[in-house]
Amino acid sequence: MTDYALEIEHIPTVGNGEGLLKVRTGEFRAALAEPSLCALLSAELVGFSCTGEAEYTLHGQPYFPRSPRAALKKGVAVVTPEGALAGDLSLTDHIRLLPGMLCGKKKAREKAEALCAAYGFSADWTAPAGALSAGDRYRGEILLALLRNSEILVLCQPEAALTLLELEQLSAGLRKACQQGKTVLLLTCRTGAAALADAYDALSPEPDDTPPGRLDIAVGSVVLEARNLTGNGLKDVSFEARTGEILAIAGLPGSGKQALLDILTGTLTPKEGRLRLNGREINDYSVRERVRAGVACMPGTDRDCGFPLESVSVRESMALRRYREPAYQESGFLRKGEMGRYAGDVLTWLNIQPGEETSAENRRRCALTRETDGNFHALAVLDPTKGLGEAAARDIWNRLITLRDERRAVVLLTSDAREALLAGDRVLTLYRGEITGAFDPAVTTEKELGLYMTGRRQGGEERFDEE
Amino acid sequence: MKNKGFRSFGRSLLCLCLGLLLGAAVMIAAAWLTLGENRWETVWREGLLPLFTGGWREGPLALLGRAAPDAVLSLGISLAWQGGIVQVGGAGLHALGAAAAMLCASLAGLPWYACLAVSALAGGLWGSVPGLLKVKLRLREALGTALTAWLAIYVLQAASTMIAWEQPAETDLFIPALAIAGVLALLIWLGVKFTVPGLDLRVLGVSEKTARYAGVDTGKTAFWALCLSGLLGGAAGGLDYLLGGANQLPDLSLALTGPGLHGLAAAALAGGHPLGAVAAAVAVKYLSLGAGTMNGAVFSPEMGEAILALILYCCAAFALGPGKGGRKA
Repeated sequence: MTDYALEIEHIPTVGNGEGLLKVRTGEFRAALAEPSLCALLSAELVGFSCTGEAEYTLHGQPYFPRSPRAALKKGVAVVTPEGALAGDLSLTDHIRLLPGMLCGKKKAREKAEALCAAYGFSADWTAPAGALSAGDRYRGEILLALLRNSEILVLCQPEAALTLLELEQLSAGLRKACQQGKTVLLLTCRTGAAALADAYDALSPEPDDTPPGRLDIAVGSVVLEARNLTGNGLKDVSFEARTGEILAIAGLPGSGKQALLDILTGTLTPKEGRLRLNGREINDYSVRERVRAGVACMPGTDRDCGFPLESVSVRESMALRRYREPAYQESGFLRKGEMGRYAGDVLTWLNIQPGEETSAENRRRCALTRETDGNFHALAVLDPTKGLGEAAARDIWNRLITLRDERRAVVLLTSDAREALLAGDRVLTLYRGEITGAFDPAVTTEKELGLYMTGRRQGGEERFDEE
Repeated sequence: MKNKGFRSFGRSLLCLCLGLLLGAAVMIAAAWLTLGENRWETVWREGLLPLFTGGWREGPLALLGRAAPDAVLSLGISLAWQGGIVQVGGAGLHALGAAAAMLCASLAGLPWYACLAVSALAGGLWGSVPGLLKVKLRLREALGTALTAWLAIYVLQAASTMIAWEQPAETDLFIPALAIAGVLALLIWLGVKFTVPGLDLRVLGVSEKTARYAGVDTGKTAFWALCLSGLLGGAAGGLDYLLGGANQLPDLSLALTGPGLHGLAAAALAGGHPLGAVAAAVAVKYLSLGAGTMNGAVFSPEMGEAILALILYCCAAFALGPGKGGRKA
């Protein structure tokens, strides 16, 4: 009998690596991989999909689960940042739904708290899962997996829900679990996170942590000014975006970045506060009026960006922001030829071959080009590189930096502390709708930023003087 | 894009075949329990053969003409679906349109086209109610359209006991009905595909959030989509009455299992495509007419409706099945 709990062969790796991953029983091992590969491996391990490329062996036996239920029966629990908790149920309710855990709330909570104490975790047991922070949900799912007595824990991209510091604390608990016979596989795209495990395999090239090059230009006048934005989960948020700088606002999922973007685009109205573009109040402007005034926005998901969609063609998607302009319509009829020409020009400029526009990185590149192709003054982007590989992410950052060098104001709303530090000229942290700190990326570490993103520290001597 | 179209057509065809197969299985099972000797022959002669050939009995023109109201109703449902709006109130709109046409024809003695215009107007106005509820009170349109449909059917049923309804004058309106359905389908297809409001509607169909980011006035678009959908539903009812198809109006059981179901089934089969909706409505009507010619002593006339319901289930299963949010990484 093999002493490997899990073996994965023929992994479709990018560039280097043998495409082989072996995890011993009781080992805490990590695999450094591109986000798409992490997602693929976790989906196959949990039984959501089967591409047939990689081959899985569990304790020497072939392992091809047909559903998450089958995976759980085999003792494999996969935790992803998207999560599998029901938003209306608390963690205690989830525990009571586990097999063999049919008991009163009090008893369930006692069991869970005993487990928490053993591994050094903490969790809010009574709040609905939907109200918990992304990190708490992630930790909660790990606890549920431990309570279910799953032998193998696969943690997919924990960096998307937890800061590096939180990951460090979590890894101490996971190590204890390994000592008790559990096997932990960490699938991550971060060297920092992978290094927390006892050993790691690099399935993709290690990411480069040098910031992308940029012109040394002086920061100019204020273009976009937000003052005391309150409501929709935000509390008194103020910031200024200036020409020639990328202002990164870093916050974990649920911190209010989405609401902030919605307020900037005009799809959401704040209860209080004002928004100014080049000194002119734009609070009452509609989405279209804001686009005309010079506010460009790129939402966080491809679906929200509207590119490309099932019922809307690529050319229509490319012209989604401006199909009402006279260039693309005449008396209410779409000028499909013009739309097609524009889409073709953009695809040619981006060197995207026909049929390739649907890949994740090309969708993002097309969406960013669409938003920034025109006369705009300020750009707000939400999680522009989420789920992209290192090369594609750098491409997006370089594009943002080019815009900054062209003296546009860029507001980068991101869940990724590393992205904020690498691409931003100035970083603000957002926690539960509040700005908790302002930083110079040149002298700030990812861990330090994480402290402010999780609300463990607020204000402090590092705080920038906004005025 | 062409592949997508072919895939969609293939899926619809598969739904139709699967529904028919399941229906045949239900008929055989029912016959097995009740029939004695020559079960297979009886099922074939009295059930399946009339089901598949009965639609031709009156000739192709009558089939196409009788399918026109269903086509117009399914066009209304498809139009709303293009915007991601679940219109399930087809039965109510149909009943209302038929009643309006009946009132105009029997009380005011208006010509058929005036009756049709009034029924479309009535449907449009009634269709605007769930639209208003959606925009003002954020009531989900599936609930709003269902509630208004029930309200219309019940009120009309109550009224039917008080008013002496008259049968429609026997006029040969098959060709005008067919022309109306064809022109409407073409107009809706062109409107959805090639105009700015059409693209607004399709973007809304992707998701409300996408539409809002794209600067679409989501409330206004949804309201007008429901109004237009109501207008077409009302016109379908009026057309059905004028063609002499809705004799027993307004009958609750007929309203729900008849035109409402036919319109939904046709729209589902067409996958919301306006031109496909007309073709699907013809297929649905063919089956429905065929079901009417089955031997009533052996198979209940509801068997045809049951088969249509099975086809609808197959369409729903394909729409929500693998690759549409099911097993997806």
